Order: sequence, then C-alpha cells, then structure tokens
Amino acid sequence: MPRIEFNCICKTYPDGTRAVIDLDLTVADREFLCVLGPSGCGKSSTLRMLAGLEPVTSGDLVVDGKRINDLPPQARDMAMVFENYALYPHLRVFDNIAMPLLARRRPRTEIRERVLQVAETLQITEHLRKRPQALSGGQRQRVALGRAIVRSPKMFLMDEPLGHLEAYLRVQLRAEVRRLHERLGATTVYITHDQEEAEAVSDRIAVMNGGRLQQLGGLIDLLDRPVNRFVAEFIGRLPINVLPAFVGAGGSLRVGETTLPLSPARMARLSASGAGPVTLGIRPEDVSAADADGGQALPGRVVVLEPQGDRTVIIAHTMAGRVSALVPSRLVPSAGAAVELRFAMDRAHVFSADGANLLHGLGGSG
Amino acid sequence: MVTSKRADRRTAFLLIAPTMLVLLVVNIYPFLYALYISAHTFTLGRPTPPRFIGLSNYRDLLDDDRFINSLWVSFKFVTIAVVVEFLLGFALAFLFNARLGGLAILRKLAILPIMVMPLASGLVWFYILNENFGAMNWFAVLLGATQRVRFLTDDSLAILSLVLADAWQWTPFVMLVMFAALQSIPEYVYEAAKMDGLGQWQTFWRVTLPLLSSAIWVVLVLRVVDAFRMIELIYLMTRGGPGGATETLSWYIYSTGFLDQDLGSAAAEAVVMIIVVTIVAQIFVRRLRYGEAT
Amino acid sequence: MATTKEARLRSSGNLRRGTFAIYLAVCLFVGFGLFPLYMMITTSLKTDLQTFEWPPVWIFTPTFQSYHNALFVFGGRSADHYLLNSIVVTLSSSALAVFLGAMAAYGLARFRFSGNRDIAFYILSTRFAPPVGFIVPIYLMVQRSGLLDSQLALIIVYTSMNLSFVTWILRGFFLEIPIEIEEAALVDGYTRWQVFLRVALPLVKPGLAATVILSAIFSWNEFLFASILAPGDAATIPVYLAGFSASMNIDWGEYMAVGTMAVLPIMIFTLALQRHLVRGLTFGAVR
Repeated sequence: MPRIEFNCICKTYPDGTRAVIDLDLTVADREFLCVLGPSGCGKSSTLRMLAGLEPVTSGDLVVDGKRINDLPPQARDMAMVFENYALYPHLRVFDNIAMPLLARRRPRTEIRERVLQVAETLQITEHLRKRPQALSGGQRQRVALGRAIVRSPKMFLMDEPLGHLEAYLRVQLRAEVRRLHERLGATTVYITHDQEEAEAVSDRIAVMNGGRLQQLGGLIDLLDRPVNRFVAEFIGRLPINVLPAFVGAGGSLRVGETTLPLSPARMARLSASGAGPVTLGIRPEDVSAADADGGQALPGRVVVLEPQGDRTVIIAHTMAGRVSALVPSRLVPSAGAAVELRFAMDRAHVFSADGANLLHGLGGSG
Repeated sequence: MVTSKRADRRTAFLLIAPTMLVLLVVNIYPFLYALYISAHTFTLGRPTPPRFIGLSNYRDLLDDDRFINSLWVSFKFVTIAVVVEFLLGFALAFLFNARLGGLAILRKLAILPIMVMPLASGLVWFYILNENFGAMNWFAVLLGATQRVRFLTDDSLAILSLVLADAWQWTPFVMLVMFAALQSIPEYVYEAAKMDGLGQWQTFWRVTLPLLSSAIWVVLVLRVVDAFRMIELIYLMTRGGPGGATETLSWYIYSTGFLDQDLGSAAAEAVVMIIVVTIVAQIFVRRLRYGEAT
Repeated sequence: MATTKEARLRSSGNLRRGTFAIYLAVCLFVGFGLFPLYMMITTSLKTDLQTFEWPPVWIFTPTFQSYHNALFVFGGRSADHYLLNSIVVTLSSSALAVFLGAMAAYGLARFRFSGNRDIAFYILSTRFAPPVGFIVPIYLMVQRSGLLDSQLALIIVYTSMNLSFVTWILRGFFLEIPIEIEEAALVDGYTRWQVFLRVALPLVKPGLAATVILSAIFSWNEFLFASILAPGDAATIPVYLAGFSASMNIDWGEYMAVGTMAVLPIMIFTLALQRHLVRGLTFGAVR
C-alpha cells in the first residue's frame, strides 16, 4: 500500500489563487520524494496540505489507506522541518527538541534520554543549553531536524530546509538528512528548488509548475525523457538550447536553413503531429562544434568561451539564435571562429507550441 | 570614528545636558526640597517662617489613621483596577487578534477612551453614576435593581465606581499593548507547535504566554504606577468620600497640602509616595536592564 | 497576481464557531467605550431641565443653548482665554520636549561614555514620578520664583514630564538606524551635529510624530499641575472644566459642552493619527 496518496488534490486560496491543480501523486512507503519546482509552483502548498496546515480545497488526501483531509496536524504522525527553522525563540535547544515529547506528556526521564540521544546523533550536544538566537544557521537547522526526529515519526515533511544555508553546509546537511531518512525507515517528502539537491537525496523527483505536476521520475528520466519544455528547461546543469524549428512534410526537421538528420521513427512521430513551427531542445552536452566542412550542421560563429576545467562551454551565434555546446577543452576553437554545430539528434527533443514533447518516449540512450 | 574621543564626549554632553538640566530642576531638586519641607512645619499662605522639626512629621504619619487608611485604600484601588484592566484587556487582545473583517476599525474606536482628558472622564462618569438622574442607575433598574443604587456615596461601591471609570479609560491601553505583542509573535511558531503535537491549551501555556511575558510585565508596571497616582477621578467623583472610603494616598497628599494647607505633612506623605513608587520603578528598570544586557 | 504566500496568509484564519461571540464581545466593549462620550455629547445638547430628568431622556431635540451659555454667558473669563493658554502651553511643551528629548536620545544612542546606561535608565525612571508627590515642592518653587500662574511654569513642568518617554522612545528609534549611514556621512565631512540634524533626525520621523502627538495629548489633558500652578491667568482648559464643578449650580449642559469642546478635537486627532499613537503607546513592550 502506498504511504501517501494525493488524489486529484486542488488548492484554491480565498483570494482566488489556484495554487495546486489536479494533483495525482503517490509516495511509497520509505520513499524519499523530492518536490522540485520554481517559486510559486505549488510545492509548498502541497506540503502544507499534507501537514494539515492548509485545508484541502478538493480531492482526497490519503495516508495508509485513510482519508485525512479533516484531521488536524496534531493527529497526523508527521514531523515537519521548516525553511526558517521555526524554533521556539524563548526556549533553549534542549526544550525545543523536547517539545514533541512534552506535548505527548512523556515522562521526564524518557524525554531527557531521547533528547540527549538525538543531540548526539546530530552533534549538537554542546549547544543544548543555548537559545536559538545564539546559534548559526547550520546549527539551528540541526536543532530543527532534531525536533523532527525526536519522536521517530514515520513521515517527514521538509520545506526547503537548507535554503538559507551556505553552499558547503547544504552539501553536508543533505547527506545527513538522507542518512536519517534511511536509519529511521521514514517516508520523506522534501521540497526544494535546487535540482542538484534533489538529485543528491531523493529516490524520485516530482517536478511542479503552475500548480500542476509536470513529471514524476528519477533524474535520468527527467533529463533524457522530459515530458514537456518546462521540464527540459528546468532540469539540467547547463541551460538547454532552445531553438525555433520547423517541421516539414513527412516529418522533416529544419533549423534555420539546416535540415537536421532524424531517424525514421522520429520522422514518423513528427509527421503524425503535423507540419508547422516547433521548438528544438538540445542540451549543450549533445552539441558538438567542429570547423566548417559542410554537411548537415548548423553554421555559426563563436562569440563566448567559458572554460570549465577539462571542458569548455562554447556559445556560438547562429541564424537560429545563440547555441551553447559543451566540448572538451583541447578541441576548443578560438573566439570568432566559424564553426559547424552538430546535434546528437537521438537525444534531441522537439516541443510543440503548447510545450508538449512530441518525441516523448523516444528519448536518448541515457 | 573619524572624530576624536574627547570631542565626542563633549558633543554627547551638549546633547544630553539640556534634558538633564530640566530634570534636575523639575525632578531631582524638588525631591530634595520635599525632604527639606517635610522636616519643617510649613503652612500654605501663612506668613510665619517654617520651623525645623526633624522627623516629627514622619512620626505623626505613623499615628495618623487617615494616612494608614489612605495606604490601604490605594492598595485596594490599585489591586482591583489593575486586575480588572489586565484580565479584560488581555482577553480582549485575543479577541481582536482573530482574523475577522472589521476588527481593525473596531479596534481604532476601542482605543479612543485612552486619549480622553481624565478630568472630562471624571465629569462624565460623575454624571452617569449620579444616583438621581444618572444613566447607570437606569441600567441598574433595567437589570432588576429595586431602588436607586448609590454608586458614589455608598461606602463599598464608591471605590468600585472609581475602578469602573479607571478601567473604562485604561483597559483599552492594556488591550492595545497586548494586542501588539500578540501580533508580533510570528505565525511559524504556531505552525511548529501544531506539527509538534501541541493542543490549543498547551500552545497557550508553553508558547504564547512565555512569548508575551515581557509585554505583560511592562503593562503591569505601567498600570500599577499610574493607578497609584490617579487623582482626577477622585477630584471630580468622590473627593475622598464617603468618609475616606476613596481617599487614596494621592488624594490625601492633595487634601493635606492644599485643602488643609499643611505643607509639611503633605511633603512627608509625598516623600513616602515617591519612595514607594521608586522601589516599584527600580524593580522594573532593573529587569529591563537584564533584558538589554542579554 | 498574488503570490501563493500572500494568499496563504489571508486564508489561515478559518471561520470558527464563536465568530459571532467574538463580534458580540468586541462590539459590547467598543460600545462601552463610546458610551460616556455619547453621554457627554448628548447631554451637551440637552436643555438644563432635560439633563435632570429621570428616567434619562434618550430621544430629544438637540439645542446648542449650553454651548452658547458656556462660551458667552458665564461670568469670569471667557472660554477662549483658557483655550489660548492650552494651545500655547501644549505646543510649547511638546515642541520643547521633543527637541530636547531627541538630542538627549541621540546622545545616549550614539555615544559611548561611562554612565550612559545609568543616565538612560534614570531618565526612563522619571516616567514613574508621581505628580502628586512632586506638587508640593514644585508649587513652592514656582511661587518663590514669582512664576505662579504663568504659562512658563506649566511649560517647564510639562516638558519635564514628557521628556522621559520622548527620550526613551526616540533612543530606541535611533538605535535602530544602521550606523553605517551616519558613518558614511561623517566620512563625507559632516560634523556630528550635522549628522544628527541632516541624517539621523529625518530617519526617525515616525518616532518624532509619535512622541509629538503623545506629548501634545498629555499636555493638553493634564490637570493637577495646571490647577495648582496656574489657577487664573494661565489656566488651561482642564482647569476651566474643573471650575464648573466648584460652582454651586450644577449646569450639566454647560459642563458637557465645555467637556465636548475639550475632548472632541483630541478624538478626531486620535482617529486620524492613530497609527503613530499606537506606535508610541506600545513602544517598549513590543520590539
């Protein structure tokens, strides 16, 4: 039985804002699911509905087979870690961590033991007598984590918990979060806008935009088989190239004046969708730049070079706009040189006017 | 800093000196002068020079029944008034904290009494509480009173009438301060409490109340001190009567000094009052110091 | 379009049972608060006979007779004498209090010297000085210096009474200004005095507004010192009001008329400027 089910969940705020639209999502037991998306995409609203901090407008929220729409947060066995830590400013770290146990009136000895244990695990024992104001961001977040795990809940909800921390702390703490998840055998729903983070900690990623779930899957799925233009543009270390293109009769694909080589299967798919203007999406990693020698390549002129260690990003100006390519540094042409850009078409995506990936399912070999 | 330390000190002195000068003249010197007066026989308007009598005025105070009574009446008034104002104001702050439409306007209306001239307030309440034609008696009859209530002339009711008028004016102040304090508690604290499993009552005791404690402290001290020094209502409504039932220390000092014209005794009483208030104020200021230091 | 966060904030107070109870309680409280003001205004519009009626007259045709009497008919000084005194004393003492208080507040906030904290707390503690306690010595001092029944005496006394909270509030405001702004000005060549006048003061305008308004209201309303120190020539409106109660005839209509005239401007003032007022009143209790 899946742990958490969102069945056609909608959230509309009183002022009319539709934050979440027709969300269908399941989270398996012990899964670590990341909800990824830009600001305002509905991920926070989704989490807060799960927590019980926001009422569900319509749809069924089911946990362990039971509909929990009307259950108050206190009755759901979930712990939450907030973006801004949400520590009690008037309490010391010890009492902050102890609060979930105090709320359930556990005996003092048990509380003491548990809190010390948790502090040990998160390496904050030395801070137990301090107030949150005296701690750094990273320390506060550990306290927030401690408060979440102290009663060993089965479900963790985390709302961009590492958002306010410095880069090295983010890397460090996300590993700890993952470790805790595994140790406690918990089911975790984790919100972030940082895909690197999502990639590092999660089992699956749910990409949201404009209140709707765009795609659900592992990172490789999202990278190689984006279901629409949004996902293709949102995921990926380097920004994907997006070029205006044209589908001709028979499913041929033309960018600028260059006809791109396509496999018969792909041409058939494009032909079925009809001729007309489309958008070509191709990742810089799948673009190669060579000296002009004719052939089915897009001609361009190098304008910017961005060295990145043993590889360099070349940005070339072409008839179809700017194209970036990631090439090994030893093969880099000089700035201003004329180049021919070749696309690995088996890894290219073609998007219709409404953003849908016309070649979805025929994605690259990964 | 780009200026020298000595120049800085001089500038600071020039900035603060005028204020200190005024306070010296109107606060420090009068207190010392009051000590001086209290050690003499001083009569208002009489041409005879004052005679030094040492602590005699103070000794007389200990035997003075009216003085002892005034301390007791002050204590009664302050306690009842502050308790009423605090409990009501505190509860109302929570009510006003609800996210309901129109409360903002109602709140602006609610705080109007704070700004009313205390003398005018005393005048109106004197009229309302009048036993012959006051509106309060009309309400009393409406609520089942069989005869007209003597609000201002009954021994036990008089002080409650003063409390009523005082609470009318100052409960909104308590409400305002507690409301502001409540509003300053960030929403995320309540959300964290929910996720931690705290019920409504638990949240109030463990989270809300501790976070309000400094505001509570401030409001209590201010009300205690201000209730203690209240005099306008007595001036207009009861003038210390009936039979000393509403003769607070404030009124007694005024009465001794300007009605009986015995400035020496009045000064002695005043010194006692200043000392009492100073002790209360010091406790408060000391706690504030700790707050600032941490 | 509103962001999700804003929309969320607006919805979190879900309707509960007892919404009606809350409104009822609040309205009762506000009604209770406005009732005496209502009584004052309506009584001022009644005829003398009506003011004595039992049961009280709730519905009547209003008349301005009492106002006419209060302003023009009663012997002794006319109302505008008191009004003028009140205005002069109020404006002077609040201006002075804020002027001196701002300087002192700045000195305490921005300069480090031994005794800084002690002086600050001393000034704060004068807020608690009970007027009744000081009335006796101050009366004698005023009398001896020949300032009895002068506006100046009142102005000085009121200034000192206002100084404590003015200084304290403005000190808090100055402490909140980032010091870099002033340091930049100093580096640019401003003297410390210029920094105070041109940089710091403008930045604490809300604090200045709050303290001026509170000082003005306090000075306008003050009774005890006014009645003792300025019973005649420099008498202010509260003294005028109190004078009515001393007379043997109880002319409620006239009392209330004067009371209304004294209180109504402040009420309007309060409603218009309540944001600043609230800031001043709640200062210290709420960060």
